[in-house]
Amino acid sequence: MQQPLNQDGTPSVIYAYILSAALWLFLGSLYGVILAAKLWAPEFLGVELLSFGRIRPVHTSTILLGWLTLVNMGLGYLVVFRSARRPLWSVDLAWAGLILANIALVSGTVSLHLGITRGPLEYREWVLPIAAVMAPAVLCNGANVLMTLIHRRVEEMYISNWFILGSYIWLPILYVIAYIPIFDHGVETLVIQGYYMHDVLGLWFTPMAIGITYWSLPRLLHKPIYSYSLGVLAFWANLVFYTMLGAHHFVLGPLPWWLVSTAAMLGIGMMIPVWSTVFNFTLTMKGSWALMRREPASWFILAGTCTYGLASLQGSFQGLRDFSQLIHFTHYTVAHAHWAAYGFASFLAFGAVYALLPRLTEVMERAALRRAIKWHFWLSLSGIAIYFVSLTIAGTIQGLRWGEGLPFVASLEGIAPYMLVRLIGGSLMAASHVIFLWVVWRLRPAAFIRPAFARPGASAPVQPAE
Amino acid sequence: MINHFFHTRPVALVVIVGAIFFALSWVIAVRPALSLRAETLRLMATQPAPDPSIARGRALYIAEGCGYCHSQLVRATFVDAPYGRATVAADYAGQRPPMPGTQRTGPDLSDVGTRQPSWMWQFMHLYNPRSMVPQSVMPSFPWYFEVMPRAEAEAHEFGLYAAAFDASILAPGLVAVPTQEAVDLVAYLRALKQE
Repeated sequence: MQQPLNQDGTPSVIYAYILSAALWLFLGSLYGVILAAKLWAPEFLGVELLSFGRIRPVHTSTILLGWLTLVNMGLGYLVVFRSARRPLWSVDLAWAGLILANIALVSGTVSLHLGITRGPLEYREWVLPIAAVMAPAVLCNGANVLMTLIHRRVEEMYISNWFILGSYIWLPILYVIAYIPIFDHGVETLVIQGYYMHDVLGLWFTPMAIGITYWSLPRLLHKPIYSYSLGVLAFWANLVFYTMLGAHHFVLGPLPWWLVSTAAMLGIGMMIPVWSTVFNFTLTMKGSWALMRREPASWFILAGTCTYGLASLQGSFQGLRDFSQLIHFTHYTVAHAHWAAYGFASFLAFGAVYALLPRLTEVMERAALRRAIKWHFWLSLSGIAIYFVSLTIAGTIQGLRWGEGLPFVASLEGIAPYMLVRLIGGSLMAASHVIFLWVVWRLRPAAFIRPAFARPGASAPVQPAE
Repeated sequence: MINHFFHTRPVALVVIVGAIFFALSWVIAVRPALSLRAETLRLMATQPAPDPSIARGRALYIAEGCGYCHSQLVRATFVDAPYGRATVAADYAGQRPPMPGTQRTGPDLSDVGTRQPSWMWQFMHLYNPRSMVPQSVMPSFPWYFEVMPRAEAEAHEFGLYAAAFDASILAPGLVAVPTQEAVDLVAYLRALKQE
């Protein structure tokens, strides 16, 4: 990549996003470990501010809205400015987005500890004033991405940018619908909850991760993507199928049956975009295995791609009535959620950070860091594998014992040992995030350029670093 | 070629995919929610105002995140038969927010007021769930109780519900007396009855 790109503060703000995300990941996985420990030893840390029901939403919101959202925003900026071959349209707007998001995350975390919440509505527990700080952060970044792409210095917009631009228009619509106050009571809440809870995964985290990988994978392997058309197909199919499958969370519940049936059917349709993407990525890798063996960043992308295919396949079937009646409400769904959000979305983010960050900040001691990255990979992978297998078994036990009509405590007795195994798996993942944080810190840019609005009297154009 | 069209027009792409997403969201979420809301409003008009203690108890239930582990959704399947009749839309009318839940780390509570109406059982279970259900992984909520010598409890407003426990939980001679919060919370749990 040639010259002026790295000299206007664009790399600094992108790095700040990724560092911030890594910190939220570390914090969020600590909450996860505490929660897992409490399900094994319920009196562990038995104080009011750390009680299970209070920190459960802290775990999900720090991981999803802190780690995954911020890392995708940072990596999204990176892909957009590289592929548009120009610096970000406004570095200050990017800083404003990061600062607003962190204000929302800190106040959201504190408020949930204090029991200030909208109720057990997944991923939208923050009360309205806090969500009203998060929303402009998304809008700042969305506007910035759009303006950067409008003023791109290449003729065509690369496929990555389709996914990233799309995500930035879908999330605000989704977030506003999730917070419409007339829908927060009565059965209509369930309609909105199913829609929001699943669409935030499918129209924010998923397309961001895929769009970023459409850039990180070819960069890493020094070759173009296998098929451009498959990427375009996945883009449109994901939009149509994923938007409408949220109601599968309430199979056999009190929602209109047409809604749930539509959701289950379109859930099966998800195989079209999922397998288009999976084949596109793996066929791009084909022929480059020797290179990939030496490059641990690509291991994350390979594992993430495989998980995307398998976890999505699993998800398609979980929405079917016969299966859902046994496994819904059990740990089986928790295993699935972690496999997808971690094994797929987080792994692709790890891979992209390791593939792109050294090139961005021009820290080229990658050989020295490779050992650490390998450790991170094997710890993460064994952690999520242990976690997934133990909870899938636990969920199956729960579902079968409930289905047999045994008393509820029989299911608790059946799963007790697996809660310890899951705690071990979770601890391995948390340990790997310490390594991740350390590597990200080592990859910091030599000269860190702060936003103009934080530098008194800075009105002149930013000077090149050093 | 349509794809070439979007490759050079970011604004058009954003407008079109935003419009498609909004239209699909309207069909799958907003319009069904609006039509269900009409029925909810009609039902709410016939409901009496909730008892203040029960309403405070529900607020505590929300603040403590009880709904993450206890569902309030009985599905139309044999698996859910132990918890009552299948939930219908009208059951959620007036609930802000309803708490169908996503997990059953503990049992469904849609009809717990019928299943377990005892104040004393609920207080002891809340103070330490293991005292009533040894296999339970529910958190204890001792901060909703005052621990005092038994003699003192007699004069307490809720001294009637003073509970002594096994020595591993509470020293002999001491009792746990519910605070107003615990009374509110249990009042809410007892009010969870299917009609």
